[in-house]
Amino acid sequence: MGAVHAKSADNAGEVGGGLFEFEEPIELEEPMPKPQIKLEGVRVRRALDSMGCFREIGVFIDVSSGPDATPEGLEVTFQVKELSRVVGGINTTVSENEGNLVLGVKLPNVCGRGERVAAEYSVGHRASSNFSVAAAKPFPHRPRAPTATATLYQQNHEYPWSGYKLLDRGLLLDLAFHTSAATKHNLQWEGLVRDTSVINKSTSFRVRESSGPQMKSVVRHIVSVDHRDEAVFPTRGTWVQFSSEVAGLGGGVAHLKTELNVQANVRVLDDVVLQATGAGGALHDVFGSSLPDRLFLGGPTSLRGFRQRGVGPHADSQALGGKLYWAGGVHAWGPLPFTSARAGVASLLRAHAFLTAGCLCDPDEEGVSWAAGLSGARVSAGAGVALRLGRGARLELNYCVPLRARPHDVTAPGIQFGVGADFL
Amino acid sequence: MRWNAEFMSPSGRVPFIKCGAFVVSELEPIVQFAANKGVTLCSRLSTEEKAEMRAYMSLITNVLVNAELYISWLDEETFNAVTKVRNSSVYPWPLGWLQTRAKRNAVAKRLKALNWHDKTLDQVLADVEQCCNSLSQRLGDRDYFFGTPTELDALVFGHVFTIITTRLPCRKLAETVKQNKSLVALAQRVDEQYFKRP
Repeated sequence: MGAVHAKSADNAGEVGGGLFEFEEPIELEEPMPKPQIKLEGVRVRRALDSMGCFREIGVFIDVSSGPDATPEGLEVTFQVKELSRVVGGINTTVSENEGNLVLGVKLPNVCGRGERVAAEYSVGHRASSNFSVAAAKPFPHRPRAPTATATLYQQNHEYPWSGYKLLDRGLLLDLAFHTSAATKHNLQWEGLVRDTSVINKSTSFRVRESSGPQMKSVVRHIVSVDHRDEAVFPTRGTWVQFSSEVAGLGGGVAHLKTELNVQANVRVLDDVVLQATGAGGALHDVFGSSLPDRLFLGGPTSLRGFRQRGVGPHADSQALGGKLYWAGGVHAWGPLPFTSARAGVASLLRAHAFLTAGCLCDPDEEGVSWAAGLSGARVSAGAGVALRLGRGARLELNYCVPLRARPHDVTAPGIQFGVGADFL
Repeated sequence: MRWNAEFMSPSGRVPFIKCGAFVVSELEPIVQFAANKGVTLCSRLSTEEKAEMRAYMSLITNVLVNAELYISWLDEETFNAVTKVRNSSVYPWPLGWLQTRAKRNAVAKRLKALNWHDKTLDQVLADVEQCCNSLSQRLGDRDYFFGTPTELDALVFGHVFTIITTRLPCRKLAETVKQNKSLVALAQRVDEQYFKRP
């Protein structure tokens, strides 16, 4: 009674039967109630969607017909439209102080089981070139549905607030899996050679001292628990992300580093959401850790009202970073005045007022206890508007007032502009 | 001693000095920098003598420096026994291997551009011999090239002393330089006068 027969993969094309095999025929004791069938359908649809190789997925539920049909029988049909075998793109990006031309090629489904290969190459107008080649394979049959990814990359980064630039070349191996619907783990190993060099002649000698190539091998674990209803403008729920890394299994850099990010959202009025955020991090250097390994705080996406990396020790107004930090913020989010948060373009925009505080220090260098180092809180407040960018990022334009700063901090009062995925 | 001194230098070469906010690298700019601060060794030299001094200094950078690079990076025996080991000793494996390879390529490229790459060891040594001969002729039997110590003496001391005191599998370079007794004597004189530890 009520067996699910939907096994035929008519015209499954390139994806082939492989992907569909994970839905074994489910033998049911009782007829499945219709709402549950619908839910199952949605679950399968989501599983197919997470493969990332379909352009369209349709679920059709109908009474069954044909020779094997039973009176209560239902037919569930999944109609999928695949992405093309090769997806390519050329686009331009403008970042910090460089324009880039990005060429990308993606094979969304190489062997018919959702294996992805993506390659990206970008050239900047200042002759810096970045590339990355990533290969990913999902294992939907296995428990916790892991996805293994290997990425080979070369990346140029510039950090004008600290006066140095990096050329990273490395390999990143990542294993992502879920232990519950909301809990996601990433287990990573990264081996890289990074070349640190100063940006210009006026770079502080303290920064200059960390020039040179270094090799680093890191094992990292990132766990995030996301109970929010939505990532960019959540209205309820909490989010916790905890990352810890151990460097030093090979290479010339050894340290322990942990960082914690939390966020809680409560809807207080109809459209007004109160959000509390917190962050903290610690670095324990064993040997060889230099400037790029250190922790930094400040900027339009973290402690607003300060320049990027503007909190903590500086030399010639170039951020040197620290080994301990904490930060927290309170936001009141609401729709833009005179509009509703639900309709039209206004649903992409929110207004907020915030109060952020934080502290970054290097207790060893300052010769103080960590408690004393972390008590010098910096505070800033402000208000502004935020624009949603897709499903994961947002853009903020704020007017910020630093309320408390230390003498060596670099503040940025007034209008501040930030783009990012994770905000404090 | 720092492992990354050459990367800290603005020009990518040692030596460099730090004076307040200024970081100045390589001999000529350092000499110039000191002269701007009013410290100079050649103030009493005439213009012709100064020009002569410059000429000899550039002779050294064009001949001795290239010969040193040639022997340490392109002479297989020296490269394998000394340079490779020394250059990669500050890095963890396999970064040492990568860095040494990159540096060897850079040196080879530089020597190619200067037409030194395709010379044989004997041709290089002949150039060194000629350079040393003209230096020792200029020195004659004086204590220093221009009577009192100048930058040229410092530069000659730096190269000669290093060449004669560094043990390499290829002894020919040291032997070629040692033939010029007056240069060796100059190096020993400077060493005794300025660098002798009590």
